[in-house]
Amino acid sequence: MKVVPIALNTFRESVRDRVLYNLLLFVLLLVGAAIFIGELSLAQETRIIVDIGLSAMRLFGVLIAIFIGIGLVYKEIDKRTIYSLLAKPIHRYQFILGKYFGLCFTLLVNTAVMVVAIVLALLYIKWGLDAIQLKVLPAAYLIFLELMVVTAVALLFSSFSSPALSALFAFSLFIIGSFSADLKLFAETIGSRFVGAFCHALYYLLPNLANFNYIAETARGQLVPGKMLIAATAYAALYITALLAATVLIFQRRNFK
Amino acid sequence: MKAWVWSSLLIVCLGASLPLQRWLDAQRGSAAALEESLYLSSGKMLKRMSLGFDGLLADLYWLRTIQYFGGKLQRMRGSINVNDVSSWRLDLLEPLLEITTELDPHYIAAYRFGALFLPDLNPENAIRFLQRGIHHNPDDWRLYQDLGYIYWKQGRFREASETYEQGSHLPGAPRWMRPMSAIMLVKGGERETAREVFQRIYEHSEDTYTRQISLARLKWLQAEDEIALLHRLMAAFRERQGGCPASLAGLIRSLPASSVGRLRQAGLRFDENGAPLDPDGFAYAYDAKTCTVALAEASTIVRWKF
Repeated sequence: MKVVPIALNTFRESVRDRVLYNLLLFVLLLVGAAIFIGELSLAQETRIIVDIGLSAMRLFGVLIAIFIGIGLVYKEIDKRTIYSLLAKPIHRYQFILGKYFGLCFTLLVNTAVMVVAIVLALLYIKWGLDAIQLKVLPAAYLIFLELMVVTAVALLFSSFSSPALSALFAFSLFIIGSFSADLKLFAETIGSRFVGAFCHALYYLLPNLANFNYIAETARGQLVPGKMLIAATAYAALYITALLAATVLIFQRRNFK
Repeated sequence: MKAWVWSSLLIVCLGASLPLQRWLDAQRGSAAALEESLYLSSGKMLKRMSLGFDGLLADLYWLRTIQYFGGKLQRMRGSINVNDVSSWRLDLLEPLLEITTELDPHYIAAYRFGALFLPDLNPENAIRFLQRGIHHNPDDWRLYQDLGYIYWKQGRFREASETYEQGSHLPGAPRWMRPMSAIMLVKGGERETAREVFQRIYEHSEDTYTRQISLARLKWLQAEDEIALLHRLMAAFRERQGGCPASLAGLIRSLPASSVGRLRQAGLRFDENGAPLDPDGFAYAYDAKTCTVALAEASTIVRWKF
């Protein structure tokens, strides 16, 4: 399988680019929150640690997914390494899938370390084991799924656009995807049938990132229901496949001569 | 792999994500978006964090409020119990309006929307909300009208009269504001006054929802008047005939033509059989055993319960 070496190489590249340095900042943030905010929050320290931890995990992850994702294809073209790569018996779709899974692996390592840091911070706050330390895991898993979707979005744009524009498009889509509930509400309440249908179409066409956001519920001590985890996983799988298919279609038509 | 494989994958996956998304939506519900917007519940704090985009944020909060509650209003049918906040999430209305007006204290539409609903939830908070609106917008006569309405609703006719009086002196205030002040003092508790209040709100509101609510209340008042009138006619019939009529059409047929003409002039409508219709065109329900008239089950007239 030629996808695996490309993926591993992409992972090594991101480690060399010091992407994982963000973990240091994350750990510092959590330690600071655990020590200082706990004192100020009137017995709400668990909630605040979960909130800060998962929100920072999402924010850092999205920044990595977008800023590294948009350069995945562009860098190879810019440095002309794509010529030597595609001269080998590698299909273009293998190249795209390898790049995608390489960055996902980087994000997986990043997210896993962050989860460990959150659990340790919660252990410190609670002075022992508590259900909340386990409840964080499904929420973190959903964040990872969201990051996989965002990575696929960034990769799609990077397959045909410049890094600056790709970043702009990917960020816009991330913001729209996060506010998709408003889009639906708007579609349901607007008087014009045409605008309503258009908004409904947009709602179902654009990625609905709210499906992966259970930060507030987890912070309140609720566990993500199993059926929601399964549905969100299925949604992510379908959407990522669609995005990767679109990326491959575009990339296969590109002329590098 | 061939391009058609990828194209098919793209279409199939996007298509399959649609029913899945519908299922996910059904699980989480539409109030979730509204609650998310209350995650930061202090408008003052939001204003500081808005980096100068406080007007835009106020617009966003207002849009969320009007989209959610406006949507509920558009779909309202049958019996409305404003005390049952669980189905409407009316408990979210006050903080949403508070945030909107803290972000932009000159958001008149938000004060006016609040004046219509908040009194049913917490009259004192509603009065404070409107007083804050007047404090920030002392020259807007519509806020005096709305505050007067809230006082009137609470049966505080003297304060209602004073508020209408104050508003009547403002530039642009319509002429009826001053007589309204007197009406409040003389016959504040009468249904005629209620009709006058809602009629004025209906005439002087720009937003669809406020007009819709006022119109719904006007229709309800009219239906109540018509039912009272039919009961009076019923009592007269029983006195004459010693029993209840078989139907409402029968009751109307027993009246002299001149009386039916007067009923028509008063706004009562009839179907082809001569049975009286409510303001939305549904025949009134009639129980021949008890001689009582009521709105039909299917009627779209909104019954307000406070």
